[in-house]
Amino acid sequence: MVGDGVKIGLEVHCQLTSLKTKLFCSCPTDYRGKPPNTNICPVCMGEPGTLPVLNKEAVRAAVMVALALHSKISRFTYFTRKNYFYPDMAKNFQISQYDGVGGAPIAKGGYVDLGNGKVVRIRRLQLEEDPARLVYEGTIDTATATLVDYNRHGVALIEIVTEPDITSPEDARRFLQKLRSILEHLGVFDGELEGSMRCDANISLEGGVRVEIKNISSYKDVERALRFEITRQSSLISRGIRVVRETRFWDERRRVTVSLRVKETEEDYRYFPEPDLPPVVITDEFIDEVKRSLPILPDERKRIFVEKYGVSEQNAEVLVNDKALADFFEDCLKHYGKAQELSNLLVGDFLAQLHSLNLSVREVKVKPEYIAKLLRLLDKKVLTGHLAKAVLREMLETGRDPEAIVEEKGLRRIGSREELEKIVDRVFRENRKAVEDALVNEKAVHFLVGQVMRITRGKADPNLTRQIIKNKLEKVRASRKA
Amino acid sequence: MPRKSRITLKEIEHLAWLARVQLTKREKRLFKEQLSSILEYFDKLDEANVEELPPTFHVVEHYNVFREDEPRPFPSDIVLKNPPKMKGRFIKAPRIV
Amino acid sequence: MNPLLYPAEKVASAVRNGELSALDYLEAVLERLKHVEPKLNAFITVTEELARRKAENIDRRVEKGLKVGKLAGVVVAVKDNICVKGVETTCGSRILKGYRPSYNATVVERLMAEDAVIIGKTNMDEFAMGSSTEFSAYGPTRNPWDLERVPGGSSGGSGAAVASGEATLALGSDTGGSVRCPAAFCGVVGLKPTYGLVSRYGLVAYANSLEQIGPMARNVGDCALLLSVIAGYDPRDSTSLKVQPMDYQTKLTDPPELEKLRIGVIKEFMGEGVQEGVRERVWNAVQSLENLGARVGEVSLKSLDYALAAYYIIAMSEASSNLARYDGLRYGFRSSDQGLDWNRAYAKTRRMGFGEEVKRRIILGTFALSAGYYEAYYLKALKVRTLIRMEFEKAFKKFDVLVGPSMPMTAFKIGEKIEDPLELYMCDINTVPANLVGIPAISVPCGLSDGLPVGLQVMAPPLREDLVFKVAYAYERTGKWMFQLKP
Ligand SMILES: [Mg+2]
Ligand SMILES: [Zn+2]
Repeated sequence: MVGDGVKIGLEVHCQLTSLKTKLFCSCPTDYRGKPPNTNICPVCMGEPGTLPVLNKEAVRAAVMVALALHSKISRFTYFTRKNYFYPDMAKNFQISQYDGVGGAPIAKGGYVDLGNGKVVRIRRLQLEEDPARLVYEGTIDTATATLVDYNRHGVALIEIVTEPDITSPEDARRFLQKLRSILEHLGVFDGELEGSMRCDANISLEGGVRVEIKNISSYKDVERALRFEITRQSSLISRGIRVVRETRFWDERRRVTVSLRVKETEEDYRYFPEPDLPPVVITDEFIDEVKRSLPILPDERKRIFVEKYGVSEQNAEVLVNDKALADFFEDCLKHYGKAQELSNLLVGDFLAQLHSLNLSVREVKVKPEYIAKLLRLLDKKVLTGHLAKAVLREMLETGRDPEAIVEEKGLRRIGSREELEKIVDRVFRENRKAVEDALVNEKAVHFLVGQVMRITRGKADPNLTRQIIKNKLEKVRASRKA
Repeated sequence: MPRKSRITLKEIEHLAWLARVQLTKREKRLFKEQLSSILEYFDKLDEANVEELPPTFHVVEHYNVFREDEPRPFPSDIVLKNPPKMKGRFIKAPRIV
Repeated sequence: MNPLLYPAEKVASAVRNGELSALDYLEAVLERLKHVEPKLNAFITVTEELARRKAENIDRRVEKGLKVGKLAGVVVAVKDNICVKGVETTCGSRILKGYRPSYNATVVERLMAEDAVIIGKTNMDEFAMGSSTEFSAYGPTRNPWDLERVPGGSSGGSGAAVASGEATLALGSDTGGSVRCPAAFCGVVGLKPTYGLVSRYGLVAYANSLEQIGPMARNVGDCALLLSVIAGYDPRDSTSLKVQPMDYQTKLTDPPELEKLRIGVIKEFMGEGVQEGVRERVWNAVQSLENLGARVGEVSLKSLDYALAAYYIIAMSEASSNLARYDGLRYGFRSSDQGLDWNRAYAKTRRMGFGEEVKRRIILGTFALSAGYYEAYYLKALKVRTLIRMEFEKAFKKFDVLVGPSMPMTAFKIGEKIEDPLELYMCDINTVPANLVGIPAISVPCGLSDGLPVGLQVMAPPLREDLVFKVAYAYERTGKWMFQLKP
């Protein structure tokens, strides 16, 4: 795959989900699961004569985000009208912020450390209103009508624009995960809520033209969309076809980007300061006050995990990139002191199984004590690693106590030499050919161990089994020599 | 920044597109003449020596006007009496492409 | 005395005391309305039934000895760009045909709370863009003094309604003179308040940074009374000033005495381009004030030469954005869009829904804000605004109030200026400065020129409505002018 020279910049829109009302009106923000056009009022519907009034908490939340991203906060900022017609805009302009025309966004600069040696610089942060949700009858390019639900319209968004510092789809995903974790640590954002984080990406290959991808609605999709786009563009290039500068739409159902065949006009948003909103002045005192109230953030937390608890850098990075996981880790740590072992389980089997069960950490019903118990069962060799996986899966599915699962299903490790020797004898009898192979080829021993595991359904202690098999093979060799 | 006193038909058409207002042929021709003379009148501002002055965006100098984050649900059914075209509780818009 | 000619305060006190039934008074006004409205076309909507219900409710409460408000039974006409819940609000435009606001403007709430009887929605230039009320999708309003002439605009319906006795009081809106112009042309009193004194919540925006809702009345006392009701802080308007509500009426005769006031006549308002008769009337009025002891001087504000251009650039720019919301989706008129994508559907709805003057201003405003021209037009106009503000501040160091004619001419003939937009814009030359600067300005009748009313304009520093009222009231009391019911 072509990977060199990929430059990706992201424009991430995160709803400030901790706010109870929209950015400029008093409509509640709890629209999810409600019928269309329920959380609406004359203001967010753009009824003639209505005026915006700024939500105080939105400014505080934005300042928190700016501080967490190491950005420079503007002391003086206007809201700006971004004029463009689109059916998801009740006023056909968006009240946003803009760097220019006499205004300034709420903050500029800053960075996010991806934890893999890469740092993504932030260009700016701005507050703006969320557009309405559009529903197409069919797909966007075939629909005969568009249906508009304004429930979401006017919810406070923080838009975070990066420099084109991202060099791979994986890093784009990593960036979004890290950003999500930071915002969740701040308590201003809940990434679990459907549609709470959306992003547009721009991507260029090896100095080529910039293509914009709109409508990416999750951090999983950002990787998919960018991968698709890299493949599409590089296959065009390899066939000698020029990549055109355009805006494409990510169709998440079909998992392709489609060109919207938008007329090639220069975008002209006719920005000007919003006359209905006086400027916002952010004082040093206010910034200091917010600073003092900042909770612990992922990078600091990682440092603690590493330095205080002795968790490896790698594990710590994975833990703090998901606030819920880091929280769960700390909860478990109260019941089980070996931090590194605990982290191995969580970033390893635990996450893998969640992934295969399509669960998020927050949906996990397992009590932290039970994770501790599971680890102790491993420590006491009641369970093999293999058994532990099975027990963990059962725990994740049912939330039950691992000891109860072990008892009920008889999932104990078979550690008795006598018992295992009988089974090994049986395996030797039934697999003569394999035994012959194992006598000459060390690798064939594997197969015999596997047979024991099959018969015991994974309960056999793997080390002991291997030892018994090796001894037995040795005896066979010795008897043949004699 | 250069001003312009004459405006072309093509520019009128572009502005009409930006503003999403269809114009008739007659309107376009009429506007070309009228807007040109209005813009010429606006050239008067060139005489004003204001480069050093700050712009007055708001005549009233207040700032940090906020609202508390307290929800006040509005009876949405009243708002939904107005849209000319609906489908269920959705408001119907034309197709995008 | 014919109750139709009662000042608002007298109506309210008579209703309160049970001397006058609110319903009887309303019926008298309605009868008058039915008689003159066919000639004037001052209203787009008459809310007869709503008004009756309110009047009956007031009478019932009076009978029961319950408290009634400051405007009990007073009949008020509301410009059709101010939202009244459930009552069609068109802004004189086809594009808002059928729109019934789901809320009340703050000023309307305040009127209702003081038991005003709202009689209807008055005609206006489409979206308040005009100075003659000829640009209405619902036909022009005629001047009660001469039916061949315009009533001024854009609050022409409100001006005509007050002048003709179709309402005791009216609300207009003034973006660049839209209250003062019809007040001058129709021989009534009209005030543009300090920017931020009256809530704009519910006023359909034309140019947000310039406009205010303003009271219109037959005399200065009524105008002050209506302002007292509608003024004051409103948390729904972020540009609203946190000032204590004031009873402007009782201030009319409070100190300082007129002898202590310094009145500056704006030289630029009295030069060429002003009709001879208008200049004469205004000089006479100034003379009267001087006779009352005021110290009169002349003041020149050179930057006023730029005011009109700056005003139109700012107004059109803001308008082009404000009017973007009329796309046929959420309210108002929507053209059939069979087979059209949204771009074309919007363009068609807006072609059919907007009149020519609105299109003209949208196109110009779009131009002034567009990439490459923003600095040369919008930003420059805002800098000129600063210059004009500075000059006014300087002038107010020397004078308490500044005066001149509200309009450089008397009411012109219908159709006379409609072909030439620039000529029509020029009519606003004396009124736009107060909007650019955000200061209060009143137009008070000061006599006739060739049988048509002339308005004296009085301006004062921000929040000194008491001063403009005082001067206007002092002039009114000389008795040189008395309200006349027309036609
Ligand atoms: Mg955005
Ligand atoms: Zn709302």
